[in-house]
Amino acid sequence: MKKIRFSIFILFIIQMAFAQMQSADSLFRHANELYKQGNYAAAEDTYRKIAESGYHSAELYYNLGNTAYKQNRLIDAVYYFEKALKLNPNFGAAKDNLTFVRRGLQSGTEKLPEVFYKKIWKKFVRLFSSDTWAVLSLIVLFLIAGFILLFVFSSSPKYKKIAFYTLPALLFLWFVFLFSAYSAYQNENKKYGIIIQKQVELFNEPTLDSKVENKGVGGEKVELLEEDEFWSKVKFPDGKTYWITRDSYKKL
Amino acid sequence: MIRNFFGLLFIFLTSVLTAQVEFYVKTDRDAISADERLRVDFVLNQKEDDFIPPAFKDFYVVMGPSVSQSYQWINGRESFSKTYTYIVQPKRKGILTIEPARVIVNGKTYQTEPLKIQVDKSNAKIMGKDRENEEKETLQTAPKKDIFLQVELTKSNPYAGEPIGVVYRLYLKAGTPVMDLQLTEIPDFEGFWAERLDQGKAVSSTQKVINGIPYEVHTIYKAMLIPQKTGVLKIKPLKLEVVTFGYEEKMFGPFVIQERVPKKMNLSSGSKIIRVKELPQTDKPAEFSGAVGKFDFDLFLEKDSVRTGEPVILKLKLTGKGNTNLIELPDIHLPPDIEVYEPEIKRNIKTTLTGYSGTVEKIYTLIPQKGGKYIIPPVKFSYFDPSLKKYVNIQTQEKILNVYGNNLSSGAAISKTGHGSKLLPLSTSSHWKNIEKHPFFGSSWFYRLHYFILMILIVGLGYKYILEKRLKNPVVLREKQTKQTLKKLLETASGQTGNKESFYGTLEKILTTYFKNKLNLKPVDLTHDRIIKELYNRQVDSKIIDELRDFWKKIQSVRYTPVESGDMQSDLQKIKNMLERLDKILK
Repeated sequence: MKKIRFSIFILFIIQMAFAQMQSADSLFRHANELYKQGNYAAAEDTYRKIAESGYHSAELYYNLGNTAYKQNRLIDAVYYFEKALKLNPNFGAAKDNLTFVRRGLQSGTEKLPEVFYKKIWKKFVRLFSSDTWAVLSLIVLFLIAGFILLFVFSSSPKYKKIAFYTLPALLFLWFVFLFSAYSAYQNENKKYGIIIQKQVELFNEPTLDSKVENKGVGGEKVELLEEDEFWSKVKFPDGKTYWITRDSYKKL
Repeated sequence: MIRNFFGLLFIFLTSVLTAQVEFYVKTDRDAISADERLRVDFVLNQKEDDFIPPAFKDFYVVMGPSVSQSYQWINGRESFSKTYTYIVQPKRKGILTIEPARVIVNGKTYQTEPLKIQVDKSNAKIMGKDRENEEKETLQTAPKKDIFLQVELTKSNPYAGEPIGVVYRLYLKAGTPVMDLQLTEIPDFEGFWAERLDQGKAVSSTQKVINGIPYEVHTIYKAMLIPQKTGVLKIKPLKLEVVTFGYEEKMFGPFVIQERVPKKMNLSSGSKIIRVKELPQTDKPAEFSGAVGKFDFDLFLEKDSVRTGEPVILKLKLTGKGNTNLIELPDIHLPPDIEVYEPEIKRNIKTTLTGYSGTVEKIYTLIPQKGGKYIIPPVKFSYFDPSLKKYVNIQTQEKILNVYGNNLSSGAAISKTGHGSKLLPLSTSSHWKNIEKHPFFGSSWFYRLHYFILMILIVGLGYKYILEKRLKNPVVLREKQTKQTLKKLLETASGQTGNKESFYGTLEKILTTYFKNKLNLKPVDLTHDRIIKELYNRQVDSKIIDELRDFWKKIQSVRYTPVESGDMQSDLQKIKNMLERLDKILK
């Protein structure tokens, strides 16, 4: 009896989720329609409704970015495209539109050039999400266990040989995948913010009298290192860290 | 207490020693009309002093201070007096106060009594049509001379950067003939940015009646001054050489005749003190660049939609009055994909006595290179308004420039990525995810799966370890060897199915080996009876024992009598079966 009740509950949940996804889909189509009619404000509201219902996607934020851009809100557009890219770092259209929108803003700090191997490593890590990497590393670990057992149990020298030579390669692969999962997880959990004010005063310390000559520019993406009630320590694309007030950025 | 006492004593002594110090104020009248001027004398009977004039809050200082000294000997007693003279004009009606003036003589301060002056309504008629006559600071009191030079300031305590006007006027009693007029010394206006206003113009002259005496007033020199320093600035006197006619009495025989002769006169305007106030440091905006006056500032964008490569004019326009010519207009910061030419500055400015007035425009030509929307950021401008005594900030509106058309591919600016001139279209489909994140990496299931794999490995290795250990045990080892021997013997037997003798011989050997090992018997005890007895002891089913006995019998009969030959294949099977069944019982 209990079992039946539980399975009904599960079914109900699945059905609910499915219905919600369907409603998200229909809202999405409706918003797209509004956008095509040029009713950008209404389209934006509709897209937002989807997010309020608990679902989101890179595509949703991408479309929101376009909507904000059409309403001349360039910094908001940057924010949404960055959000889309956070969900899917390989979203080409979002990357293109982000560059396109940034063109209309004042140029911020130059991004720090990276050493080539770091760049390659970053690109490699970005191939999959941390979850995918984690699953891959588990599969490889499973294979490692299998090959160890094969090596131990097999009486055939042929299999023993295969297992013996495959194991180091598998171990290396396991290490790479696990480290990739870790890096991807770290990247996914880094907190970023987008500067939303036209110009932002930068401070060396969380005090108002430590103002710096330089200024932050609207639309810049900063990494949030520390946060308190009024101040945040942020890292700019050029690698420099400053304190800014909490109202000067919007969390990604 | 003691200290106080000494202090008092000291004051008493010094006052005794310098008891003869006299310092007082006097005026020529104690009631004047609003447009009249008043002479104020501060008289002191000491030679050495440090004079601090009163603030004259309620008066304009028209002239002064001028210092005169006089000695007198009366009945063998020397008397000395030093007089500081001011000519002042009231700022308003009512009972006004001349604040005390101070002098410091031998380290001690003396001050005059405050003096009340009653000021009534103006009773003078303003003559002439020239607007300049209506300016406040015109001379009204009766001068003693027929010709004199007067300097007038629009303001004597401006802020740094606040323009003020200075006018030098020559007053001539009507009818005074003037032959020649020459500026011999023009002040250098040190500390000011000065601009002469009447250059090249003819000297204007107006009529004015002062206390019933008609005067001709000539404006000799007019300039706008912008203080560049703070503190007390002195304007040196302007000097003028005037040649008029005078009459000289000459003896001509017995007659005295008057002859008209040219008379040269050197006039000096006297110097002027200007106290320049510093601009307040508090609330000074970051954008402030020295503008003082009253201004309007705005940004104009010619069009808000334009094709790539097409020029657009952007104007920053400053309108107003103040030190306009000394101001730099702020720069504009544009996105890098808009090409900007060096801005052109256009001035349309008139210099007036109280400052520059007009407009300054900074004109930029923008050429957008790529399609898209561009934010023209707000531009901030701030100035100091001396009349409000505070800073005013102006921020222009943010503008958006829409650029359409294809990107211009200029050789210099190669974009790293091939981005287009338009926004890419919407996504039409979406893969929904729950907003709440449940990352697998680091989750409990992630670790559970690791444990699981580790368990498999441990169990596998443990099993292997147990097997290995058992193999090293002699009993197990022997059993294994027996098993292998039996297996070999069975194989041999199945290969000997044609040869009756050796076949059954092998079967006999199989049984012997089997029991020897299973029942742990010595070779001596390996008789059939002994084996069967052992089997009974181990409670083996009598059925199997019977079967075994029959089998032995058969083997012996077949082996030693040439007659019978059994079905060898089925015998092999039989023995295999029997051994299997025995295996289950004999562990």
